[in-house]
Amino acid sequence: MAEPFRSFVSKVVPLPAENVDTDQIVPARYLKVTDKEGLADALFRDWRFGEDGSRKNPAFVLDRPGMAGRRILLVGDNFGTGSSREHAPWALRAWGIEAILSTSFADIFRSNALKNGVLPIAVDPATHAALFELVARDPDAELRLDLAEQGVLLPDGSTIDFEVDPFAKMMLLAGTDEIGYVLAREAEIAAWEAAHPPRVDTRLGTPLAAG
Amino acid sequence: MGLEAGLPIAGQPVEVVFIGSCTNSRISDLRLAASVLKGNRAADGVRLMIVPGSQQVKRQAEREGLHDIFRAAGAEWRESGCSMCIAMNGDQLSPGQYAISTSNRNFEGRQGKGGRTFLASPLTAAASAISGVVTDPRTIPGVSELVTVGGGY
Repeated sequence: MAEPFRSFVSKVVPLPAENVDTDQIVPARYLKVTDKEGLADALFRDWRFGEDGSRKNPAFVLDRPGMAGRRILLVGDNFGTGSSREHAPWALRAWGIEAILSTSFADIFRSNALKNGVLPIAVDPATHAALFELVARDPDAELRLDLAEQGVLLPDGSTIDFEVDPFAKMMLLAGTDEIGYVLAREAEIAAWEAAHPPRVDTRLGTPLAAG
Repeated sequence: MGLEAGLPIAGQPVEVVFIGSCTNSRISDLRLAASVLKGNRAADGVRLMIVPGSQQVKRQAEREGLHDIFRAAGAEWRESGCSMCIAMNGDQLSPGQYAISTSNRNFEGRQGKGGRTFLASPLTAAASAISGVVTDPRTIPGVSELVTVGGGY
């Protein structure tokens, strides 16, 4: 499915808002969409565009000069709260966001993000504050993100270490997901099945009559 | 949402009443709503939508005749679905409109861009439909005995 998640260098999109819910990340009216391509325009739609579809003035951070192409989002605590909505990481990924730095993430959002090539990185509050100070001082500061090493390298040479679920990390680095992981073992599964004839009628959930 | 800290919520006008969502539209919720709405009518200018939590709930409610009580009260008796919980199926607030809703989320714009949502129980939502303002259901005759402390509503 996805491309393998590689280390990269990027400037940061700062969004100092807490408890950003999935209704803000992508409003419900876009949930009928099944093609991820167009979702970049739905990202933070109601914060970016007015009723007539024109960009708000002053522009929302995503639409300010120099923000296009940035791959790291720096946001406030409890990002992605609210409805389970896979379109939220889809929209972030469609815009170009591949990693999100915050102090915490809503559980379902974190899980959805990891399955869709977006890496949520939780840091402690002091580090979080220091990152916002860094981008306030130098809006074009570049961070180097390395998933394999689980580190974010800052311009001053220091590194922020972060935790990530080992299985999710393996999936991201391989550019696959649980389904791909299972399908890659199809031969082994078929061999196991061949060596274990059915003992239960799976249509009825009852033991087969013979043996 | 146009309210001030410390302002009582009771008495705030609502234009739309939504009794629905997977959170609060099981058969027991609809029975409670019907107990309040029986013999009453939604206030003029109030849109009352009642959306069963599933087709199974819808069939059971109709076996019990709840849909007749709802329709007599001026409600729209709908197919099960997400409806205004998530501003789906064309059910959404207009900018500036206030709703009382038995769903469980009132994030900005959730029930329609620019709309505002009070979250409430089915009893409170039904009582508010009758008066057109956020209303304590215990003020509706015959309802107070339905409300028990920790009663699981």
